[in-house]
Amino acid sequence: MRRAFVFILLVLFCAASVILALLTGGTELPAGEIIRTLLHPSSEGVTHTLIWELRIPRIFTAGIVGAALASCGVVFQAILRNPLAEPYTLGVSGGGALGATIAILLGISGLPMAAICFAGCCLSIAIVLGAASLKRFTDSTLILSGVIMSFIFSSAVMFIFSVASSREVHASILWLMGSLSAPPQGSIPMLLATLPIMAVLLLSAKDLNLLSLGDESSYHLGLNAKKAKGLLLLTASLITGVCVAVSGIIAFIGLVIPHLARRLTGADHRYLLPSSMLAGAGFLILSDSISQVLIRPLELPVGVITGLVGGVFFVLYLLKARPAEVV
Amino acid sequence: MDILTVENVTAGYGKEPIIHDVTFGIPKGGIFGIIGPNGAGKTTLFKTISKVLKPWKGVIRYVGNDIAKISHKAYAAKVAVIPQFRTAPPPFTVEEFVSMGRYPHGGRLTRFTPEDRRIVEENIRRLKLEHFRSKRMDNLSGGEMQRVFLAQGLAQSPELILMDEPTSHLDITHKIRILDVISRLSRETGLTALIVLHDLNLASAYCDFLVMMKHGRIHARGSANDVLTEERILEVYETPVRIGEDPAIKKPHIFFLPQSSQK
Repeated sequence: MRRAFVFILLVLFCAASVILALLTGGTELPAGEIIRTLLHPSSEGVTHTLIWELRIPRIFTAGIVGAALASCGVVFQAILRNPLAEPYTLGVSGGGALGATIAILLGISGLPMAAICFAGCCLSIAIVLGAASLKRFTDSTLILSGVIMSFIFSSAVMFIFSVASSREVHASILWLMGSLSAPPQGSIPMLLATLPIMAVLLLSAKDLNLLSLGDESSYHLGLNAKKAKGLLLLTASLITGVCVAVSGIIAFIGLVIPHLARRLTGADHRYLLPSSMLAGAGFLILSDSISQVLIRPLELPVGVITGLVGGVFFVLYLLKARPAEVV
Repeated sequence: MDILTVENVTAGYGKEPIIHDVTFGIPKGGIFGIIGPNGAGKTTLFKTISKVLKPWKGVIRYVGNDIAKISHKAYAAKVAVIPQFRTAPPPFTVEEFVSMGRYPHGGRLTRFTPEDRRIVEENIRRLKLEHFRSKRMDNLSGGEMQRVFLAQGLAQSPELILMDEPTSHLDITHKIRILDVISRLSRETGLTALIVLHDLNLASAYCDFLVMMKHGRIHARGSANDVLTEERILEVYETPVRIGEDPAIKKPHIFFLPQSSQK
């Protein structure tokens, strides 16, 4: 009952974010004109271009990336059994950052840049998961190797910064902060391709419940923990890699939203995954709108907003929650 | 026919084996106890039987089938395991936690059937957890938590339940309640239980068969009367005790002899 109510609220939150994002943006448009353009998709003109070619794809991108990062955060927290785990814990973002920086240095942009960035993500996934499967890693060794990979990759990025021009460094840093302002061409199909992979996560909700109890308990209840963990870590890492390639390293969503959603719908992943997806989508769409209007006509990287809002919110939540509830 | 047989099993961690060439069979029905001092290899044996640790040598058979060839899911549909140590469970509610016991009986996409619901409900009632059902696991006491673990295991509808020291840190209310539930199920439904126990008097009172281990080998086996003798306990535990008979249940009872009383 309570759960149904929470889900209705989350859907309304997403809908409200979408409406707000349609009505606001880098350029001010009269609301009546926006609605008219929405009702007549075949019309022409500046408003039409702004709405149909900029705002709607951007809302779509923000929604999918938000939902993906939040649900991957849930997966990483369940499998690594660590409340501080997030989609970037295993070093996916480090590899992506290196790829993107190299692309910027070489003057590559758009889809090729996304591809290089995604290759970087895959490289770090391959190294961490490969090492883990060879040496039977425990959860903490896995986290540690992810942290170390991030360090190695960020050293490489620093090295590139030290030889690059300041313009390139600036472009890279903006990208590293995460932004939805210029998703590369072809990012919509890439995001669409993640939808069936995200469905795999939803279908694994029962497995995630068991995995969150630990490996031994999973075996006792009938789940081959090693196999399930490998599959889910790979799936979640690939989804994260696509998000990083499309929109850079958007901070905090993958960490904060799962905790918030757990508070709303409980620890059962059959509800936690969809509620995280809704909350993540709504939150990123909203943050992206804020990032566009806050210092208009300039635009903030959305990562700044998610980091600020998410961070402040999280501190308040930690202060308010009883110790036993902080999990 | 034995429900589970352990045949010449050697197992351990790292380089040195902990248990050596262990062989025994667990008859169907009844409560089978494993006793022995700390470090005797009870938990290692338990882990090989619960399919967490692979035997180095030998084979374990469930109703004649090598358990290494049974999938985890198929094994969990027949055999429930209540391990000794667990990490703190995530904040599931009691009801959600017990429901996870139905995992081995469901497919990836199947929803909870009325039968699943009935079995979960039955075990929530059996362990008197009705008032806790919406409480979160991280807010329970040790005794309540152990009851939830048992309810989850029983929700697997097992033919055999394996329990490693299920009562060691519990008060007497919970010790007796948990063992009584197992004992009643074993009498009424033919459930077989294998329990690793530290408390020799509880082992004597509840177990139909006992295996006593020392240094990774089986030292004695049989009924409580056969296994629990003063000489044998002195030999295995290196501790002198006196043994009498519990007048009510006609089972051996161990009396401890503090050093000050031995003069």
